[in-house]
Amino acid sequence: MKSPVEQFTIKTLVPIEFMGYDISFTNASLFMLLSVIISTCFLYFGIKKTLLVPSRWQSSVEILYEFVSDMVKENVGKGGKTYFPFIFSLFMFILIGNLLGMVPYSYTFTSQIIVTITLALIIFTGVTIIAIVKHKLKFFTYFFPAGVPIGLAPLLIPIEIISYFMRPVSLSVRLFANMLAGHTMMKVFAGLIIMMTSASGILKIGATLPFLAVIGLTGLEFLVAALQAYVFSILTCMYLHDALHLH
Amino acid sequence: MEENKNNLKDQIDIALSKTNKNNNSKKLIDKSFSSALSRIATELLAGLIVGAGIGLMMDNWLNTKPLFLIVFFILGGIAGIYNLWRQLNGQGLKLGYFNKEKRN
Repeated sequence: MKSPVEQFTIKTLVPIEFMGYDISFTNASLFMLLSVIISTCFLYFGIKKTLLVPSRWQSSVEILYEFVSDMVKENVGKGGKTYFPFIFSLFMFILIGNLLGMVPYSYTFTSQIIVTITLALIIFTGVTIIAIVKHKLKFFTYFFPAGVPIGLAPLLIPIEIISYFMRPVSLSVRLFANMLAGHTMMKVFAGLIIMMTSASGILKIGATLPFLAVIGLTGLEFLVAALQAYVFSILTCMYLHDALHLH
Repeated sequence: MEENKNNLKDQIDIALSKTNKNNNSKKLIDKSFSSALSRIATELLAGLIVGAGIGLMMDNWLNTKPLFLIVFFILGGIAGIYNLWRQLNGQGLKLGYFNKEKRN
């Protein structure tokens, strides 16, 4: 029987080497590409023929659009509309990626920390640049706001700086850990079914228990897939809000 | 007829304002227990990772091996707990020390 973590192995599909670096096209890249293609097709063909009374497809596109649009409006506040395309693409990419991972025999690219930390670092760098460009030196009052007793400075400044650098780490670890843990758990329970049915006696009947657990976990994983995409993009919105308005 | 229309409009407005209140998406994450749990775990872990990372880098730079690692590891732990407290205190994931009245 295969190990429960074997689903996360990266397989090289097309080996490519560029200036000594291995930039092969792997199964993770394939599913990232698929995620982009599927979300683009879903959105493009959904609104190609706009009807006054929307079809099911069109209204699902509209619901997604409105959902993210409301999220940006609520959490970024003034001046947030400019960043809507980015947040929306980010949300769709992660959502479709997570949902693709639920298809049997597919690969969940969000379960790789390198993918999530890259996304998080892009956001982190972008948000920091936006904040510095917008607020210039005032940005650094972020780490030591006015009105705090000066005696606290040696303690508060390092803590705030750590808190600031914690953002990309917690953002990426949250998505990665949720996907990794969920998919591993599903495989472990699915493996238990096989192990128990191949055993003898009462254990055979007991195999219904992990089977029920797998059904429940599958439902839970769909929830986690959507929720984590939502959490990732809402946190991006909050960081953008902080960058635009400081405090 | 006209009166009926106005009445209906009022009812729709009331219903809409109700849904808008319930739709506060910020609360949605807080309500889900499992996501709160994963948030606590990641927040504490991220504090330690970043603290240890900064400590190690400063040690390599100043050649003061384990001094800054120890200091920043502890500070990282404090930062993790401090951030959790801020989140649970309703300041959300916003950074910084600020008074509540001034905001919003």
